[in-house]
Formats: sequence, structure tokens, C-alpha cells
Amino acid sequence: MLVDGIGSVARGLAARTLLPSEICAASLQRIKQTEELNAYITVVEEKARLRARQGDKRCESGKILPLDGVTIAVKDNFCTAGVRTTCASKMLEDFVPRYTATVIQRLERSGAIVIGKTNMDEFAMGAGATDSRFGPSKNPWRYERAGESIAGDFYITGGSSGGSAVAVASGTCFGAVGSDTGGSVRNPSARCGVFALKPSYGALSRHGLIPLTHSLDVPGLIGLTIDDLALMFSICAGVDPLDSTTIRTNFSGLKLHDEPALNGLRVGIPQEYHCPGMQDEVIKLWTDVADLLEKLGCEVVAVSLPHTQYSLQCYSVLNCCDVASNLACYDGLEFGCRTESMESTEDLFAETRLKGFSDVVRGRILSGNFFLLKGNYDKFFRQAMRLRRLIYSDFETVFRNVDLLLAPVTLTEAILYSEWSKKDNRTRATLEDYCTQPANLAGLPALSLPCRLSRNGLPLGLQLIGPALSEARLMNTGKRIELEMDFQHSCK
Amino acid sequence: MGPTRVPLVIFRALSSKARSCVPQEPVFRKLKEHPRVEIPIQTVHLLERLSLVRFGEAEAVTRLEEAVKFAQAIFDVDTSNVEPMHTVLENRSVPLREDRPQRWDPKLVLNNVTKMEEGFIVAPPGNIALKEDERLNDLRS
Amino acid sequence: MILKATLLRSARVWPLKRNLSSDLKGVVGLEVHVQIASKSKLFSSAPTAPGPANSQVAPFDAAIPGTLPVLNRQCVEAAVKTALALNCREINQIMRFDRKHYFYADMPAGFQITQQFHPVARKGLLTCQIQRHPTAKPEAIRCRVHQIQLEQDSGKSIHDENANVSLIDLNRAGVGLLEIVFKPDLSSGEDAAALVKELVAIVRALGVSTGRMEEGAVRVDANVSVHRPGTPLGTRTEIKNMNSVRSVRHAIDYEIKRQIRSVESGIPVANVTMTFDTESDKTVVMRDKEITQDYRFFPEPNIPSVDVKQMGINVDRLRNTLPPLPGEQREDLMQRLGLSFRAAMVITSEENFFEFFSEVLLILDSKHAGDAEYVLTCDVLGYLNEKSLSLYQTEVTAQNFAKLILLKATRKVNRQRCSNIIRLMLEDGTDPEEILEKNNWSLIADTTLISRLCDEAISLYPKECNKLRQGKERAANKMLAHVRRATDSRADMVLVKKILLERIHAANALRDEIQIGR
Repeated sequence: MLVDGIGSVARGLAARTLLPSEICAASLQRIKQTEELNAYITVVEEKARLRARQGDKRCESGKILPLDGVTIAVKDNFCTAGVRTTCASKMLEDFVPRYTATVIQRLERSGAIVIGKTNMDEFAMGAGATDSRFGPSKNPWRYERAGESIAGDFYITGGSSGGSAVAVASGTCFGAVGSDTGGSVRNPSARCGVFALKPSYGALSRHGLIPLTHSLDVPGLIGLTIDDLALMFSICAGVDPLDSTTIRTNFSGLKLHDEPALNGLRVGIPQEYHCPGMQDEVIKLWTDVADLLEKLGCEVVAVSLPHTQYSLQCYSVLNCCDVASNLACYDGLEFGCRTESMESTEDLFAETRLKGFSDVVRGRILSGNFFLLKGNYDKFFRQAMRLRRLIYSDFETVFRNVDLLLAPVTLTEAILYSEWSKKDNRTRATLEDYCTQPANLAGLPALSLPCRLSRNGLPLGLQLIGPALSEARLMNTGKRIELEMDFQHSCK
Repeated sequence: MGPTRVPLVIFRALSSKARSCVPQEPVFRKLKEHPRVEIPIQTVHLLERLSLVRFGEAEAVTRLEEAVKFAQAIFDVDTSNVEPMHTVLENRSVPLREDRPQRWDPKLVLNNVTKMEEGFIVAPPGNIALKEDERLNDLRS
Repeated sequence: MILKATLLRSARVWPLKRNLSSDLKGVVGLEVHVQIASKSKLFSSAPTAPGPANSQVAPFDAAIPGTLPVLNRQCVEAAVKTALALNCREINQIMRFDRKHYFYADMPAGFQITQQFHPVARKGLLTCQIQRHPTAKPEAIRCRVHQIQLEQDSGKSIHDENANVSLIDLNRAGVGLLEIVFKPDLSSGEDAAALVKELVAIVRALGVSTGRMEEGAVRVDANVSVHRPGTPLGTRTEIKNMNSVRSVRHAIDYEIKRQIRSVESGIPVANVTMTFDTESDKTVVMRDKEITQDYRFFPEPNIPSVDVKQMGINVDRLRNTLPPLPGEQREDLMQRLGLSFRAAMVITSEENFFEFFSEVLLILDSKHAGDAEYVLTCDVLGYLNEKSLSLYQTEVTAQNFAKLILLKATRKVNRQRCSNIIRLMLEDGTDPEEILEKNNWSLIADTTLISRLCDEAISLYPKECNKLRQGKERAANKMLAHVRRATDSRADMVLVKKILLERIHAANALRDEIQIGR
């Protein structure tokens, strides 16, 4: 059932062969079955069943909503009223917001059932969904085989929205919401064999998304088919008066072609995206799909994004600085795990932050404040902002000649946790984001598609990057590739 | 799809041009070597006070130095005459909100406060500087 | 936010009464924070109205994760109007916001959103007039405005000494503030006080703020240093939390004198932050350790930019529709109605006086302006100062006030009783004629009666009569007082004095005649 995506739900409800409560029950059961994967931090069983029953009533009266019966998982950095929202951190372990993030609200208003909050790297800092207070999430692909040489070993999901990707990939729900700051929704989706959309900056509201880097964060969507992504996107998109960085778009009626034609489409291959350490199978996939596109009528050309090599460093500065600022609110007074210290506010804040934040988080705060010091601001932060403009301009220039870009997402397939944990978080996260974060710096939309399996039987994917607000073209193109590649979701 | 252009004639018989577009070798220029970064102890103490976050151990300072060294690559890019870009929406004006007050129930807004007294949030006295972590001085010499 | 525990050390006391013949001059730069009287806060929809602790707090004000700022149109307009009123040559069509980072319990986000680099406006000028003593010619004081910026107010922190905790109330957190930074063009507390008074009057006239310093709607910080003109500026101290015009004047004057003493004694001035202790009338060091502060400013990413024009705020239209400012109001009062500078200053600087006075003059003929002004600026002002009230907190109405002035002008009541009546009107809003009737305070102008009483007085105070004959005017007082008492203070004292002097001269003449006759 879940393999066919949201479309099959709608058909089933209309034909009265399915009820939302049945789907909900199946999802909840599946979650229990796949508990070991540690995709969920909180399962919202009661609320989900309640909403499902409401959906049942609507189906009976014939007033079916577009997402009735559609169970979705939400990354645990989106506020959900009455449900704890932890960001996988001890700091917010008991934080229960009394409001719901706008994108989640819009999905719910269309009938979607939030089934649980998913695991992630703490405060979205990481690329493995491994640095979480609640333990790492595990890739369902080759799950049994992974533990063969080292007991308990598993393939990482990728991150930071690893839990959301696994939730969809393991069949517990139809779609998931994640967040993408440097690749956090595309990275795990590519590694777990599901589709992901990183929208243009400003297309979706960030109200209720607990921030990592305000000028780079976007809510991302994960699904089983690109049509599903398009549907969810069309429901979520639109100006939000509560987020001044949302822009007017006309995606509300978005519908993709049944079999999108790609004749005349100009596709660019950014040369710099082949970086050292890239797996040969990834290159082969990239080449094969480029070839496929040409056969489908596209004109494929090599293009250059000259500043790509510096984008990671640029990103690291901007990211840390924003983190240092955004996490200044965690002092234990209005929310957060507060320690007993009552000597002075300075002492209380320092103690609370030591207790609540992991090393990774504290490290980024210190780095960010270093870069923002009076004597460093121009050298580091302003320079990074200038470099950002150059990276942005690289894309602007390229998009005068091509309609979209085809590039890898991650450097390699999912790797074993035993390998992964050898490197420290900063090094790991840095390299992982190579191909994904430039699109964040430039605020551009990107679509990651699983294409085929590697020799090891792990998903390999690619991404399409387009100019701002070109989600329709991006998804139409992606859908055609999806149809041609026909990636099988089964991960057993 | 795409702006109108002179239609191109595609010769299917020719071998794939697309394949040759994908670089088979990494396209990577070696980055300049930057000197090792050493953060003076006063800066360490200052950062702890400004962040209200403790380094905790010498390794943490080393990790910061490495992060700074990594970031230094951005110095190598010529950005003369380039304006800083702090957000891609820099030229878009934000919408303004009408001045209509809305009631907010403190039970909903402040439901996560752990220490309250008669409606006030309880905090320790302020304006007392954070004590410097002496251990760091020793560990770094 | 005044914490009782912050008075850590007192400054040295210098005898202030010594005559200063120093060539050192004070240099004063003011930073004034004006609370914007919008109904909701700068970036959130929480109300700005007062209420029980933490009852006016939106999630954004408490820095609840995931909430974002949404800018209030009213605050932007208030900022532009103020910039226009302060003659700013640069009003930025595009403004941005920045984060200023520091930790404080009453600032939940750990940073304040302000405008460091692209403020609302720059390069303004505020001119006001000051009369240094009652008969002096008014002088102009000019002070340049460096910049005007919008920013968030913080919450309030109340220190509980017994439990050694701070109690935080976030009602004020996020309220819109205009920070007006002046260039150090002032040189004394007197001038600074005059400037603040004028600024308060301006923001009130614009409707931008209530201007109530006593409620914290206007807060003044001053940077004070001394130097010999022509030489570089000296080290400055910062005086914070001056919550009244009087404090501004006294604190700055004290600090200038203290620094002059210090420099002349060879002790360098330390760059410290001070507060003003109203009880001892001295500036006192607030923080005894110089902590390096680095605010790590960086652009607020959630408010990319504000294009004032694009958002429908027409600067030219606002310029043309500014209400009359205090300066213009004073010109009008002095030219058209012939009021004195002092009277005009009082009417334009006391809260609601100008509106009230204008309302009264819609009812009365302008020939009564003088009388009206007198009662307002002496009797009413005196009452308000005594009770620490503002006019809007009293019960008097413009109609009743006008009635009272007419009673006085038509000689139905004398100045003394008029004064008594206005007090009662301020207290409970009663009709003046009723008060007059009830208390039997109507004017006595019966010349026969007055003459008799004067004769009585003359016979009671022969010594004073002699003094008066010798030209000592003040000697009349006891006799006048006698008549006043005898008439229950209802007599027309001008008439009484006239008659008294006539009677005395008449008595003199008679006496002289008798003497000559002998």
C-alpha cells in the first residue's frame, strides 16, 4: 500500500476500500515493527488516532480532504502543539510548545495525520542522524547484513533529517517533513532511497521551525513519489504573515504532467561537484543519468561554478555565527532544562548550557562567537558574506545558459556506523555537505532522487538544482527520471 | 521549457556528448596552506563569557582552532568590490503588520517555565561576571 | 530596570559650592530611549498596555523557539515622523535591523534586535530655547542628532533582596523603542534638561509616545566628559537611569563638577558607568569592574530589509501632515496671544496643557488668554507638582475652566479665591459657580466696606503706616492681611491696596493739616 504513495490512499478512500483509521493503525503497527531503526523520538498515537477518526467521518460524509488518511512524520525540530519537541537535545527534552509550525498546520488542515516526531542530529548539527540524545537512527537498507562483521553495526541514515527519511523508507508513513540547511533533507533521503524536495528559500514558512541558520534553513519534504512531493508542496506553499521571509508564489494549484517531456531542456553538469573522495559508483550514476537525459531530448552541457570549492568554508562560518546567535535563548528561564544554580544568572546560564548541549553544539557556539568578535567580524563574517554573493552569482550566471543542474547529493552511499564514528562530527559533517550546501547558500530549490542500488545494495541518488522558484520544472524533470529509473523502494 | 532559442539538431548517431560532460576525475584545486591557529588564553576566557558556554577541556580549544584554520580558506578568494550578502532576499521588503494587539494567555506562552512565583519568572541575581576557568590556563601552556 | 543591589560604591564627595573658575568645560552627549505608544509591540502582536506580570507576552517576546519577528507598521511610521520632526537630513528609504548580543535575564533571546548600521535616520538637528533666569532673553540651544534607530525594549527585572533572586516580568519585553543618539554638543545639565524637555514635548505632540519619564516612557543616558576647548575630548563616564528632567540636570551638573575637580587634582577620570542617586543627589558608580563587552553585531536575518516607500509609507506626505510642533506652538502663543516665553514654555512642555489651553480658548475670547495662562501655569501647575499628577489625571474640564476665567475677568471672584476654586475643580470636577456659591466666595468690591476696613487697619498698625509714608512698600502687607482676613479673602486686593494707600495719604494729609493748623 505504502509503496504507491498518496495517490493510492486517495483512490482507496474514494472507493471506500480504505479508511483513515485503518491506515493510521497500519502505520502505528509498522512503527512498532521497525522500532529498532530508532526513526522516532515521540510517537503521537492518541492524537493520530483521533485525527484519523475525524478523517473517517469526513469520508463517510463524502467531504474528503486532499491528505485524508495520509500519515506523515515530522522532524523533531518543528513545533507541534501539545507534543514535545526536542531537537534531539537534552536542552529541550521536556519542551512542549503550545503552537504548531505553519507547514505542519497546513498539512493537518488538509487532513494529514502526524504520526510521530522523528530523530535527527542535535539541533540539526550533523549529517548522520547519529549525534542525537536519543541515539542514532539506522538505515533500513541492508539492515541485517550490516551487523554481520561487527555486532550491532548498521548503515547510517545520513542527516540531519535521518529519522524522517527512515520513517518514509521503512514504510511507516507516506511522507515526512524535514529541514534542509546544508543538505539535511537531501542527504538522508538519497541514502535511504526516498525522494526529497528542498524548496526555494522563502517558498515555505519557517514559523515553528526551530532554527539552525535563519538565512539558510528551509522546511523540506520527503516522500515516496515526486507526485506526492508536489502535492504536499502545493499545500504548504504560500505567504505566511508569521514569517516575514516568505514570498508570494503560485504553487497552490501545482500539478505535474503525467509523462513530462524534456525536449529542449538544457541541463548543466557542474564540474566542480566531482570532489576528492567521491565514490566511483556515484560518478557512474551521474554519467548514466546525464546520458539518459540526453536520450530524452535534453541538451547536456558542462558548466562551471568556480567558487564551489570555498563554499563549505563559507558555509561553516555563516552557520556557526547564526548558531551562536540563535542558541543564545537557551538559558533555562523560559524553557529548557534548567539546573539548580542560583548564584548568578551568568552561572545558571553557563551550567544549563553545559548540561543541555552536547560538545558539538557548544563547539559551534564558541566558533560562531569567535568569528563575530569585533576584530574578526570583517575578516571572517563579512568575507563569508561576500563569498556567499560570489557563490550566488555563480549560479545566476550558469542559469542564464541552462535550465537546471544535475549533480550528486552525497559523496558515497551510506556508510557503516563503525566507520562513521571514527571521524569527529565537524570533519564528518563538513565533507558530507559538499554538493548540497551551495544550493542553500544561493537559496535555490533542489530535488534529490534515488536512482539505483550500489553494488552493496545501498541506494544511490542524484539531485536536480534549479533557479529560484522553479520547483515545477524541477519536479516535472525529476518525475520523468523517476519513471525511467523506476527505483524499487523495498528495502528488505 | 526554457527561453526560446534557435532549435538545435541532435545527431543521435553520434556518441553521447552528455557522458563526456561528467568529469571522471575530481575537479579540485589544492587549497593554500594556512598557518596553525593559536587562540590566546584571554580570547578563550572572553569567548566563554560571551557565549556562557564552557570549553571544558583543552581539546575543545584545539577543535576551535581547527575550525578557524579550516575557515581561513575564505581569505584566499578575491572579494574586492563585492558587497556582502546576508540573505538571498536582501532586496525584498518585509511586509508590515497592522498595529492590532492580540491577547496571549501566559499559561500557553510560559507553560515551560520551571520556576515561577506569583506570575514572575524567577532568576538568580544578575551582573555577576562568570568565573574564569583556571584549569584552561594550565592545560594550554 | 533599576536593581536595588546595583549601588555598589559611592563616588567621592567634593564640596560643590566653591566658585568654579576652571577653563575646563563639560561635554555632554545624550542617548534618549523613547517608548513608542503603539498598541502592540515592535515585532510581536502582544499588547503594550500595562497588566499583571507576564500577561502581555507573545511567544516571540519570550524567545520561544521557532517564532519569528514581524515588524509593526505603526512603529515604523512613528520613527519616520520623529526623524522628520528632528530635521533629519538622511531618512533611509531602506532600513535594516541588527542583533546586539549580551545575556540578561530580562532579555530572553540573548540578543536585542536594534539598528546599528542602517537606522531609520541620521543627521538631524534639535533646537530649543532656554531662559536662564526669569528676566533673561531666551537663548537657543542647538544639538545635532547623530542617528535615530528602532529597537526592542527589554523586560523588567525586580530584585528581591530577601530571597536574593530577580523576578522577571516580560510585559515590556519587545515594546518598540526609538533610540535617539545626540552628538556631544551640550555642555551642561541645564542645557541637557532643556533639550530633554523639548524632545519629550515633540514626541508627545507627534503622538509617538506618552513622553512620561516617570513611567519610563522616556529614559535618558548621558555620556559626560570634560576638556579644555580646542583640546581632544576627555575620558567619559556614562550616567544611566535618569528618570526625570530634574535628575538629568542635577546628575550631569554634579558629574561635570566632579570630573573637573578630579582632573584639577591630577586624578584621571575613569571610564565607568554611573547611576544617579536621587536621595543624595550624586552620581554613583554602578559597575565597579570594567568588563570587556563585545556585542557581536550582525544583520537580523529574519527581517531582510524594510523598504519604507514600497510598504506604503510616504515620507513626503508625513512631512506635510506633521502636527504643529512645540516650537511652532510657542511662536503662536507668544505672537498671537502675547504670552510670555515662560508661559509658552510651560504650556508646550507640560503634558496636555497645550490641548487643554487650546480647548479653553475655543470657548473664551483671546483677550482672556493672559488670565487663563496665569491660572494654568501657576495654580494648576502648582497643584500638579504638589500631588505629582498630570493634568489628564485630574477632573477639571475645559468648559469649567473657561467659566472660572470668565468669573475672574468679570470680577465675580478674586485671584486668591480663584486659586482655591481651581484646586477643588481639579479634585472633583465641580462647576466653579457652584463652588463659589457653596463657599460664599464671591468677590467683595464694596468700596464703603473696604474703606472702613482700611481705616481699621490703619488705626491698628500705626508703625506700618509710618513706614509706608517713608516709602517702604512692604509695610502695607500687615494691613492688607487684616482686610483680607476680615473679608474672608474675598476682597479685590488690587482695589483694597488702592483704597488703603488713598486712605493713608488722606490720613496723612489730614494730620498734616491739623499740624499746620496748630
